[in-house]
Amino acid sequence: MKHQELMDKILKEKLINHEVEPPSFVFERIQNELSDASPVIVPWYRKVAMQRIAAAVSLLMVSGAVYWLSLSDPQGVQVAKVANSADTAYRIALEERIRTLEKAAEESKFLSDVASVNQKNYPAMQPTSNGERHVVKSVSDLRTELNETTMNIETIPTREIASITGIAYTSNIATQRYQFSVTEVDYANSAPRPNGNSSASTLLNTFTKLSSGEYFALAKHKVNEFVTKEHYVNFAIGDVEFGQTIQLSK
Amino acid sequence: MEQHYAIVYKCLQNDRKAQYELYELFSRKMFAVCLRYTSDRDAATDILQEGFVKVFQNLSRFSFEGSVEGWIRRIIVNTAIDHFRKASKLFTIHDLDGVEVEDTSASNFLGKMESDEIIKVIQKLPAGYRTVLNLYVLEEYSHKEISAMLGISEGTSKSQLARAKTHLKELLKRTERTDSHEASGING
Repeated sequence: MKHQELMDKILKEKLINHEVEPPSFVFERIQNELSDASPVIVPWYRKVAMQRIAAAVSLLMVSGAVYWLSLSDPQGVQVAKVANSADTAYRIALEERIRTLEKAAEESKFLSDVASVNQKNYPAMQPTSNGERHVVKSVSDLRTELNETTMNIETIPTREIASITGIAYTSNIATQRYQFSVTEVDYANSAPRPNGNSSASTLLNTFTKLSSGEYFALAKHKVNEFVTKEHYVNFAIGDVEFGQTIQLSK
Repeated sequence: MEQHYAIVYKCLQNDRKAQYELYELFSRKMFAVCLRYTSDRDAATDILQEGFVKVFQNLSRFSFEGSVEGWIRRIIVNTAIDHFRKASKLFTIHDLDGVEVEDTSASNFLGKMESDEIIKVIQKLPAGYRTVLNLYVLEEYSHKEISAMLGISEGTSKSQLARAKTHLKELLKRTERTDSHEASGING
């Protein structure tokens, strides 16, 4: 090995990992310097961009709040329209409905009542002549729909019934459990109007006349009426007797 | 390495304890680096302080790919270079008399020296020599890289290194002579 190389080798061996204790005050000084450090100077264009982003986020938050208020307050309907996003309103309404349904499903009374449903009392649940049953969309279906919806509400034709959502367990006809939640019904044709005189049976009959495809369309159509009219009819088969008028709230 | 990454991550969340942990892990090694690039302990302390401030301020730029130590070392070395770039006499050429380049006694003596003693000898080198010697021999940068770092030509880098080594040998010889005189004085 050349003399120069030998020197380099010795220097490396002795110095490369050598450690020397620094003065004890250094870390404190580093900390002081870090805390005294002047704030980062943000270029003007970045400031403007940040301000605009902040303004956009604020606007979104306000819009969201308006939606929620409008959904809980019938008088806030017009405000909801301002947001001009039927799709969003639809999603929000759907989420709200899912929560309501889930809550109802968890109630033990509802479940025990539902368990005792007698098939003959509810002829509407009988299979139709072609063997098809009218199955209302389940919560999971609604969730799927919620996740997948990209529908432009404006393209949906006006339907007679504005909204219908529900949960259904159809594995065994004897234990069918249904909950309907009807949001503002506008029966233009022969269907009855849920004006407080409507009965569960008439409503149910109306619903069961619809094909599953129509239910789907109704669910999708929900938003138009949901935000403009605030008549709700909630009932659950098993909770109430047939023919009884159930909750009608404004 | 994962452990070091975890500390860096905590530092990024302004965890003061983690900052201290990181400093404790590497400050001794980095202080030794600073001492090699400076002529005295005070200057090395300043560089260590300035370097670690840069480390903490730029921690968000750490890519979590290489070693934390390597990343910190580069910052410390660059801080040391900046420090001496400000000094105008970085590349003064010093005349040397009576130095034999192939004298093997220097390396023999170097092998017997303690690390701290070697650092003291290196500190006696002119700033330019010391910087190039450190960058080339210990940090293993090429002359091309050193020329870019210091804003000099590759030729200057090479000549500075050759002169640095020659000067170092001379200093080692002088140190050896001094030591032997002191030893004989004590014995006599």
